[in-house]
Amino acid sequence: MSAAPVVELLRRAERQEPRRPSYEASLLFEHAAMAIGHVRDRQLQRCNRRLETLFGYGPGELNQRNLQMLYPSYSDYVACGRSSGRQLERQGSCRIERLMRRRDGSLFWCQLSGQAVDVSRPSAGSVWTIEDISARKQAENALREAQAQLEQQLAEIRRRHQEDLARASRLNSMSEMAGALAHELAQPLAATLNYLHGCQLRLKQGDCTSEQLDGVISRAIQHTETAGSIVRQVHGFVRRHVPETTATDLHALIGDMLGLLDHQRRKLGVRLELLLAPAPPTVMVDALEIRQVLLNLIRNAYEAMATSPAEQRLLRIESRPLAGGRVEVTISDRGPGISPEACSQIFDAYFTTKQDGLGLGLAVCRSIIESHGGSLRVASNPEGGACFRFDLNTVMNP
Amino acid sequence: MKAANEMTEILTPSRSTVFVVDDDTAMRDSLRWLLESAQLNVQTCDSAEAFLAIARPDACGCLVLDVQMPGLSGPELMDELKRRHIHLPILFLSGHGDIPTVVQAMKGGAVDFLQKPYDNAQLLERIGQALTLDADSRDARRREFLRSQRLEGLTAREREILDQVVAGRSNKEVGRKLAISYKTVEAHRGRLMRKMGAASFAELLQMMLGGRRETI
Ligand SMILES: Nc1ncnc2c1ncn2[C@@H]1O[C@H](COP(=O)(O)OP(=O)(O)OP(=O)(O)O)[C@@H](O)[C@H]1O
Ligand SMILES: [Mg+2]
Repeated sequence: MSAAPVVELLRRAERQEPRRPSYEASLLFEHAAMAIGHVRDRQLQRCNRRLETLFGYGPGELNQRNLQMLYPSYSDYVACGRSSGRQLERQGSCRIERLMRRRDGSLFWCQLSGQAVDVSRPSAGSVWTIEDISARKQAENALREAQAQLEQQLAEIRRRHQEDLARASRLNSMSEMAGALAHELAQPLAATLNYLHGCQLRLKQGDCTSEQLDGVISRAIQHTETAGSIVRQVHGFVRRHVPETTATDLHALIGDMLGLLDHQRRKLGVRLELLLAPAPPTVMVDALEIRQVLLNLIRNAYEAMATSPAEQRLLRIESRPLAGGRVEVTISDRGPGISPEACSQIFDAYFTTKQDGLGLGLAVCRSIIESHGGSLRVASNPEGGACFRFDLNTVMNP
Repeated sequence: MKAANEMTEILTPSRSTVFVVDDDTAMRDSLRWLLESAQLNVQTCDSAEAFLAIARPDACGCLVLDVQMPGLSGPELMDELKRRHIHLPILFLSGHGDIPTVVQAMKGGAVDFLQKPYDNAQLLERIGQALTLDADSRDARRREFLRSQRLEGLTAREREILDQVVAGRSNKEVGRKLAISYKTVEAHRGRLMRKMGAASFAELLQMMLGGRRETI
């Protein structure tokens, strides 16, 4: 509600009867449902009963009192007076929302609406109506909080959804790779058995030196460790993932994934070209997630080249330091490449052109890289095929 | 007429070798250790092409072959060896999913296979069998080679008489059939026995009938 009608009454009263307001004006003033006060030189000339009760004062206690007592602090009083004075001069009225102080020292939100009695005559003062808006403020705050909470929940749901997609994609990769992985495991285990059986035969015949045995047993141990590491990788991919950020050698991750996919590579006769930065970049990442990115991109590349002529099958992995301590990894294949129309869709979840693809691989890759503060992009390989590129922040060596 | 190099193969057998062809370094190295521990002579190659470069028709022993390799695959190598008249028995070590390929290859000849992961006792036994098979077929081929050489040394008349005799006719019947005297038949018969290197009639019969049944 504005103070304009009251001012109008005051003015009218002044015109008709310069000293005293009319009886109706006084009635209206006293019994208005709204707190009203007449201020001059930052002093309350008069106020109605409603204003007194609003601030916790008794009848007449505020008359001729300085406004400072209604403000939370002296500096509030000064600042508010300065800005409202300017506004009243400029436009004759002003509206302020701020905290005010009751007699007992408690603070509450008010809306103050001021109206100059006569703009050309600042000494005539201004009339103010004051409304307690604590309830509205409270509601607004509650709403803001609820909104923030909702957004947080949404973000959490989105994050969990991303995690579920990532896990589904990991499980699917592992189930599709089961055969190849069995082969990948069979190889080191068979080698280990060969070494050990050979040792047994020789021990029976007594025709070997202990250095010979030592060398062979070391090799057997090494192969058993290879097998163990494959089992660990698979386990990491299928078990529920607990996010964990660690300083990791990016090249080691690339090596791990190439190893895990080596059977598929040999089967397709894909040649490998590694152009890795001379200094192995250390990145602060969730190692499993970056493994998953590498696995998806390399698998996509192999799958893309399955139909290329055999002599053309070449996978190139490049790592390159960028300015600002970042590192860029590029995975290029010589498959059919990706059409400009498809480029806008391949990162969408569920977009796939493969018979039994889930279409999750690239969507998951992109969300993982973005959550690491990087970006994943596709380009065409100038030599034919597709090329996927992402960047990560490295840990600067001290 | 057979190729000249095959003649040397037949006449001068070399020591049996187990040729291991596998692109995986660990498999090659560990198989070498195992087979040498079993006192076998081993030679390893990292690809089918590498093996073809060293394979000689007089190679004797057997071939232990990985099915999946970059470049020529195991079965492709087998075809190439057949084309080059290299008759080594082949033992395929097949991985997951290779069975159809191997079964296809088995139609092509002296082929055995073991599925990975296999039992090493089994591997050694199969290699032993392959080596025996190679020795036997080499022996058979040598006999067949000598037989055909000797047959070529017979005159037309001796050849005629040999066929009759092997068909079970007596000297008298042969003489009557060919309108020559019993004595002449007997003389021819003695000469052809000598040329064929047969000490007795039974040996001659076995050489001719056994030889005909033999397949290489
Ligand atoms: N290297 C590539 N060359 C050509 N096309 C590609 C390549 N990588 C991805 N694509 C295209 O993008 C689509 C989406 O890839 P994405 O990895 O997201 O799913 P997918 O491979 O189809 O299934 P999955 O969820 O099992 O990985 C593929 O179906 C394919 O059409
Ligand atoms: Mg994919």
